[in-house]
Amino acid sequence: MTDCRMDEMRDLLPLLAHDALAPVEAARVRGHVAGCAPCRAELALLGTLRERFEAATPALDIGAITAGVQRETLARTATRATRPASRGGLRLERSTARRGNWMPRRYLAAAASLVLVGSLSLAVLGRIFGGGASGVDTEVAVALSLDSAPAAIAASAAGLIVADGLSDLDADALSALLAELESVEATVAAEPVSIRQPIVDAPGGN
Amino acid sequence: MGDPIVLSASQGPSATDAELIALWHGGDQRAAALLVERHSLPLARFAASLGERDGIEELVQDTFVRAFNSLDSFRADSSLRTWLFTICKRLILDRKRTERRRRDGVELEEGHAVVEYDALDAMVADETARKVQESVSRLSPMQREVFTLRVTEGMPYGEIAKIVGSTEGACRVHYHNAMRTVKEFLSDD
Repeated sequence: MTDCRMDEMRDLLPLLAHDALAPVEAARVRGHVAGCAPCRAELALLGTLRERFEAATPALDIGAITAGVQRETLARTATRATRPASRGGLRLERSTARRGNWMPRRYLAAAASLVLVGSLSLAVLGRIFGGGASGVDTEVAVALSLDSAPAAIAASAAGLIVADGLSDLDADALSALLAELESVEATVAAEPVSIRQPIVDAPGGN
Repeated sequence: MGDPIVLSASQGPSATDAELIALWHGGDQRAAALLVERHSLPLARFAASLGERDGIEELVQDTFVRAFNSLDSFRADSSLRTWLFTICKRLILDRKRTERRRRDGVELEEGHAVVEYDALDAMVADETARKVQESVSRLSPMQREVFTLRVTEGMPYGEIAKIVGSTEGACRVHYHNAMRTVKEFLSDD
């Protein structure tokens, strides 16, 4: 049997046999086959071969295969559905736990910042007024801070200012200061007001 | 993801593989059934052409189970059909390796000669079938794979190349060489 010299056409014969060509291309190949005896013979051979291959394929119970596939995949899907849920749960717990730990830390950090800022401000004020300041000035500064500042700030403020001249205080003054410190409430009623304003307005202030 | 695809019973068989996969991802087992129905026979034909005779149904089922269990990794670079054939081929190779190991073990123990198993024995039903079987049995394994995929499934060379692990050009050459061998045998006989 002599083969057709048009390899392109021969190449497309199996696809024509399977009706797998685009309509335009299928028409072109059919047109060629109609006038080409070797291609007609090859197309017929392809049909015979395909038929024989199909006949050699054992019968299948598609229902049984489907049932088997569904059984296996459902079991797997169920396992997978459980796993991500538990992982997700863990992740959720962890993130919640982190959030839970984070919130108090934020408040602590804010409080610490307030203490630091307050302490520094008072330290500066102490320097400005402390050097030539009388005991009254010191008391004013302390009292101002104690009126509105949080307990922690007030305590540290008192500590800083008093520390400047603690040795100068006599026993009575020291007792009075301690008593005043004890009377300070532990909780803050409101945000502290700026301590600069009263001091600026204080006699002798700039 | 977009809106879920909803198929009626009449649309199901005409739905594309991609649509059925999406449905299956959404938990629709009917989509899996349609995919199995659509691709089982071609897979069985392919397995038979590669010499599988026993347990083809089990092989086809295993192919689908493996495919469905790893559909998440299916990138759709090739068609589902090509992917299924690739999985099926790997399973056949695994089986053959296991069978060879077992057979070699038996041979060593008992000294039995190994009878090479012909892929297309089951095809012998009449004279034409015998001749076709003989002609195809003369092909190299690669030629036979390419030839059967082209002849029985009408696959483009690109898809065949992915399944057999070769190039389009090489597959074209294998196909034409195989066709020439078959024709020569049939005309000589």
